[in-house]
Amino acid sequence: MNIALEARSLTKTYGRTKAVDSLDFEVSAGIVTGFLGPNGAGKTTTMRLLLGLVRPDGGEGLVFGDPYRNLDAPARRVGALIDGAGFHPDRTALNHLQSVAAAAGVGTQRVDQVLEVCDLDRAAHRKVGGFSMGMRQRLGLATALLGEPDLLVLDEPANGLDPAGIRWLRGYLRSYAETGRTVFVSSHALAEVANVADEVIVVKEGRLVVHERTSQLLGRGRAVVVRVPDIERARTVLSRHGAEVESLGDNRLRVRGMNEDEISAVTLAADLEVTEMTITEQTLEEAFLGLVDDEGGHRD
Amino acid sequence: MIELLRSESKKTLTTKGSFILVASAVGVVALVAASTVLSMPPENLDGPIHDQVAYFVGSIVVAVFALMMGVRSFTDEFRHGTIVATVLAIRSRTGLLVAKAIVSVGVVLIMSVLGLVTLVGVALSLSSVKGGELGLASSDWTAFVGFVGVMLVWTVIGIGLGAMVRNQVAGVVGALVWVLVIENFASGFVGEAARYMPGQLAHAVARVSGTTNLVAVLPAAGLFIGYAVVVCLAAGLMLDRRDVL
Repeated sequence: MNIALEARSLTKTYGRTKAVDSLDFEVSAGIVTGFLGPNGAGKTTTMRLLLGLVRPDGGEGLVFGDPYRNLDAPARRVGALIDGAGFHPDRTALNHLQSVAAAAGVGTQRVDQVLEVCDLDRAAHRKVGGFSMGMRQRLGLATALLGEPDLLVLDEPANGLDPAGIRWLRGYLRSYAETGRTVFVSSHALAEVANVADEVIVVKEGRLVVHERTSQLLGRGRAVVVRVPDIERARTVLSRHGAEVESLGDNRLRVRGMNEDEISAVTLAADLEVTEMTITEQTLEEAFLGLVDDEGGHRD
Repeated sequence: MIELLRSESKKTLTTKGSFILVASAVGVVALVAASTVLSMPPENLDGPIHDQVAYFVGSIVVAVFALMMGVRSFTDEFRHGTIVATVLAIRSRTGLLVAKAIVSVGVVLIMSVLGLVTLVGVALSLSSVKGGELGLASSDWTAFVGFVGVMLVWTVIGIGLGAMVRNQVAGVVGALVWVLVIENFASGFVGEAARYMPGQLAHAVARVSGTTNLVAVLPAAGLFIGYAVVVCLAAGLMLDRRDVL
């Protein structure tokens, strides 16, 4: 699979703080990758490093195999929305987009298209100073989309969007990746990432915590809750077969490390009665908090 | 480069800032010219325009606005955060510096010509009303070419300063302090060397009277342009190496 983004031992220090600490990961092309971490984990700095906005103290960031600044037509390869896009408050949305489009060598027809895609066509002639945060986010996304890029790098794009906007964004990012293009998106809205991301990269204190498929990450917290009359014997039998067993009271046990078929086989062989069996999945939020707590850090 | 020029022109023409600076420059020049001419006795209103106090003060006023026009070209982008979208869309930050310089120089060309026309118009008409004998001499025309050229170079210096300083308030205040304070008191500190300072070189090129011991026009023009080149080279280097936040 082609690699769209690559962090190779990426390091950035501000004063005494290591914002990004020998970070290594690869983002595969053609999928949506979520970039998660608590506040101050180094997500925005990592994105800035990958886009050549910030010079690394060590390592390198590559976009389609090259440093960003070596890309021939950067806006056609990468569209980015970093840390809430900036706009001149006196400039209209249309003029903002036209000025960026001109710099990127993109025709004005594309400006009209992105305004429509981001539902800003009716606000095109309004000054950005009067925009709500959600409208500013949409304009930031419209700016990122101008060059019809192969890769979207979006930092907290759901910030300020209303529920309808978040749903629209989720659908848009999904359909963007379905056309073979790549989305790398950081977010605090973990449920949204769970819905849209194929893979998840979790960082904390500038270091990589985990990089795996979203389904794998969610599967880590998969458990089976069984109700058994003889709870002590059930605990012994299941533990002997390598399961992690936790008592929930009311004759219920939460079993991790064995699936429902394995539990059935073991309890049947041990002539244990099971009166109820329920499969529980953890949410991305639970998985995320579990990971960052395991690392011993704070969370917001 | 054509794409960058289109983009920078669009930015310049789609906010009020540039128009306000041009209008303000012309307004202040009119005010300065009127007040200096009206405050002088008619017998002193004699000789070519570039020998007059109004021309001296007017050249400083337009220089200040030209510097501000240059400084705000980059500092506006850093202030409002548009610099991120700009540098992500382009290949060369040096190209951006050149494009901004060309577009700002174009605006300042209009501003300085309008300022000059206003200055001369106000000075001549008020002198005539007061019974003075101010008139356009042949030496005025070469002075005027120098005047406009000087403003264009100040703009380029402002562009470089803005790219290096990035903070708009610091950039504008720094430029004002330099032109209005440091240049005027420099001779007390550096003696003869003050004639090689940018403001004094600018006076020499614009043939401003009232300042003595100026460098000859051509060497002054070369040195003044040299300052602009050095500032822009430093700015280009810093733009290329510093983080864009």
